[in-house]
Amino acid sequence: MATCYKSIHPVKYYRDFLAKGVRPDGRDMQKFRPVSINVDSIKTAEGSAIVKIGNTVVVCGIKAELAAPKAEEPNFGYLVPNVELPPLCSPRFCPGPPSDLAQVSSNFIAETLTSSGCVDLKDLCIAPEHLAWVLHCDLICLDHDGSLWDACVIALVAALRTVKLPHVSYDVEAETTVVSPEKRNKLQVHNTPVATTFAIFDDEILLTDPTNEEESLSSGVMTIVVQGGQLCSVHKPGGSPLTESQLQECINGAMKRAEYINKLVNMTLESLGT
Amino acid sequence: MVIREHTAPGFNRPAENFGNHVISQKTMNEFYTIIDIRHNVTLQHPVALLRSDFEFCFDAVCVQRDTAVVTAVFGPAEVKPQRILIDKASVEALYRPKTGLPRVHDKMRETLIRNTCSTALLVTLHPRTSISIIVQEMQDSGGLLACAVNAACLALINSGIAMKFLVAAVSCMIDHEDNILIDPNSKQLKGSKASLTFVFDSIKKNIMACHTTGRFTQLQYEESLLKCRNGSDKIFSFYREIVRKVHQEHDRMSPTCRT
Repeated sequence: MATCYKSIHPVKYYRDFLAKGVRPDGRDMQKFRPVSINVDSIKTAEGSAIVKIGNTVVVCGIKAELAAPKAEEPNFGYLVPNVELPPLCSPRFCPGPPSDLAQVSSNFIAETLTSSGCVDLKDLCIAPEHLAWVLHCDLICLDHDGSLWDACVIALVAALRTVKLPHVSYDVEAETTVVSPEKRNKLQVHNTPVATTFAIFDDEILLTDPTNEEESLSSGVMTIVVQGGQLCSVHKPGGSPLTESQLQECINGAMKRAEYINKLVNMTLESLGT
Repeated sequence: MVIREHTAPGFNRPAENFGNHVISQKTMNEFYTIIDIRHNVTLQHPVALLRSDFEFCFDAVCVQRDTAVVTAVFGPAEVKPQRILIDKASVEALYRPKTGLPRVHDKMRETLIRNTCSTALLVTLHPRTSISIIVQEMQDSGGLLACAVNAACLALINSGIAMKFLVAAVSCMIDHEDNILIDPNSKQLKGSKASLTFVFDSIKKNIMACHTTGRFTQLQYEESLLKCRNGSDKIFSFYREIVRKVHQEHDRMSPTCRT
């Protein structure tokens, strides 16, 4: 009966639940879904992590490559994030070129990386003007069930913190590169940004950590990236208007979540013995 | 019908106006200048993307200081079967950069404009149709996203498609001395710690959309929000002014049609 009702009038179905202060999956409005993190899961990559938020699963793999730095930025390496949303993760996506959402997500992740300054690109430079590291951060979504960006940011930061780059010496005169894979250095990660997504249902109810269903039924989504008590990004791409107090509520929620997530990531990395 | 507003070019604005957090009525004309608002003009570049059987085309050119954007609105018109929505119009935004093909960060702008406009429009009045908003960047000297949103709103006003409210976007930046500057130019943006763009609705001045880069504290965020909100009042009154002028011109040209 309930499933029938839900498929005929999904918004009303949600409204009935929310009127009682509970969501159909049993959470209240401010409750997050359980998060699980697994680091260093892919041995062929320089760094990797798998993050699960509820049913949303994102795998991050970081591959390193050597290249010449850009002429206008001779002291900088490269960090290239890419979000992939294969048809596997949700029926919304078709095979073919990256969807709009995948492109917007890649752009968001790239902006978050630069805003937070979590990796200093100067650290990736080996010999100015000659040689620098390129870190390809591939984020692949295995199951898209809402709050994709939260999972992406956690996975990316956790993966970056496991990156160990081989020692490289470059002889400028002879233009020779010597890579010693047995001698590895950890990549310096200066900051740990954490993203939190909120959905706005019926123009006024704020749903923390929404599922895919909640996101598609809601009238707007907002993502806040927090890093060490500061805001890195407040991204609200349209949707229903929010008042200042609602925004404040979201920021406070995001701050609390950041502490919890950082603790979790630290614990996971410690258990790895690094 | 062409209305031309010749106001003092923005680059003549005295430097002390920056950092002045309240924009005075006097500087408003310099702050937001519209040069052209007209009907049924064929745009060469963006229109080439679309089929020619569209019935309506309305456009607006929005110039904010040196940042210029042209927008065209088509619709409500026929929609592709895969985009059809049975209970509302499908709103799409196309963003064309000045040179080259649209890139990844242009998709972000597209999404923001599309979501903002589809919330502002009464989409349920036109089910099974499409409303396309084409934004062509002409020149970027800071605050491009804000200019694009304002241009889109002007084009929508001009199109006469029913809206719930108007939207106005204001950009600001935080410099290394923690000063907040409203509507910075690209030169000033180079020395910025963070830049923020807010979109407000015209009813309660709530936050429709927000995009930020760089790091800032919660206090700075709230302060810039407040300053941008004050700035948005000027844009809303400017919209009113423009519409009044267009109607005046219309009445002058066809006095018999006056109601």
